[in-house]
Amino acid sequence: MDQREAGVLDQLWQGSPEAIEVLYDRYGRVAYTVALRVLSDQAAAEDVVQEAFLAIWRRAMTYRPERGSLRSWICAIVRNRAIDRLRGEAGRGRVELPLDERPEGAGVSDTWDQVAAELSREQVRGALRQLPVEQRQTIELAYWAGLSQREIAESMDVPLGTVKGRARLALSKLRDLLQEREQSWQPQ
Amino acid sequence: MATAMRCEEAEQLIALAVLGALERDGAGGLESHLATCAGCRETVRAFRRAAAVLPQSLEEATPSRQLRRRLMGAVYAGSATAPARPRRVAGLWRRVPQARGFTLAAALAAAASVALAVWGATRGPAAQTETFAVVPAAAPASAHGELTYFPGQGRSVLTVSGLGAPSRDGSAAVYEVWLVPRSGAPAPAAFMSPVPGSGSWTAVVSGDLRGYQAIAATVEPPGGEPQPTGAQEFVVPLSQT
Ligand SMILES: [Zn+2]
Repeated sequence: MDQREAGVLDQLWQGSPEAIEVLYDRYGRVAYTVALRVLSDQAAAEDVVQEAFLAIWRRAMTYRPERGSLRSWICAIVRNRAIDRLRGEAGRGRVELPLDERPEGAGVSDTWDQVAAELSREQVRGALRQLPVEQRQTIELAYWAGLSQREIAESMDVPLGTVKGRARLALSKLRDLLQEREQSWQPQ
Repeated sequence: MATAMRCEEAEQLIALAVLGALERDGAGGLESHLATCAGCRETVRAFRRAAAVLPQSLEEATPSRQLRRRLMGAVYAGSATAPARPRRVAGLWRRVPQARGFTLAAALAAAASVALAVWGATRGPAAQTETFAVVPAAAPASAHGELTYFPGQGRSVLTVSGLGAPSRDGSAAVYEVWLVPRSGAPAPAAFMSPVPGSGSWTAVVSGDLRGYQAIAATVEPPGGEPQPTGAQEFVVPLSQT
């Protein structure tokens, strides 16, 4: 988070509409991109983006800098709402993990946000291409189509245990790839 | 450590949860495992970060311009009736990790400058600015304020006191600000927003003011209009530019 973002958060807290304008100008496109990817419908995607930014404006949810970048926070809100809209009741009742905060002062990984922000589309796609196709499909069905573990097992016609194994391998590999980048990352 | 669930099994459930696919009745034992296993708590963080880059694989799409208008219209309409919120500058800043290279003083200075909503314009000394007075029209005669133009940044800040909450036929509305050219139709430029606790309204207008004869404001329905439909509330003649 840069100083400008920090200022925006302060403004948001005070209820200044300009804060939403700045956030929208910065993250409106990526938010719309995520919503459109889930919904494949421009009007529905725009509705979801508007709802999400209005919810942020009404402080229906609170951003915690120590839990990740502003960008990924906004993307997560938009994706959740888009899947809600796509799946309705069927998309609810999923487990959300407790948010474990970064250990105080340990500086575990302040570089992470910068590393993630500097990844280009081609680099992320490259990382995904290194996954076996069935692992990629598992990510696709869960993250973008909003299917549950059972629904994924049915649609891929594999046992539930296989779905679990694929999800773990896929995220482990993405994590390892990103950690390599993080370790070799130098501030620019 | 003797836990009912092995770490590999826990990692599978964490991966499903991070991807949004873990059903409640399939999560048995995960919570208690996480309570006792620091390694798997770290996996939660790492998997969550890995999933957070997935949106970056997408070809970026562009929403319509109307979306910004609709969103900001709804925000500005809502802000006119929303109660002022308490300032929590220090509290918010305490949560920003020190390692990011901020000092509290710098942070507060940044917050103070952005409160005017002049992005960039306040970075250096405002060496060259031009100021124009607000002239009330349909607004109460006591309405007053000024427009400060920062030619170097191509931005202006408009601040007006003595305006009531905008309404049309008794329903919520917005103050829409227009750039009025020497000839031709006014162009929509911004919406006014109330400055919490001060009773005044402000807007930032982007663009070079040369070529315009005035800035004016009207009351429009939420979301604004592409062309003014209400009476002029006030006008700022730009005689010097
Ligand atoms: Zn474990």
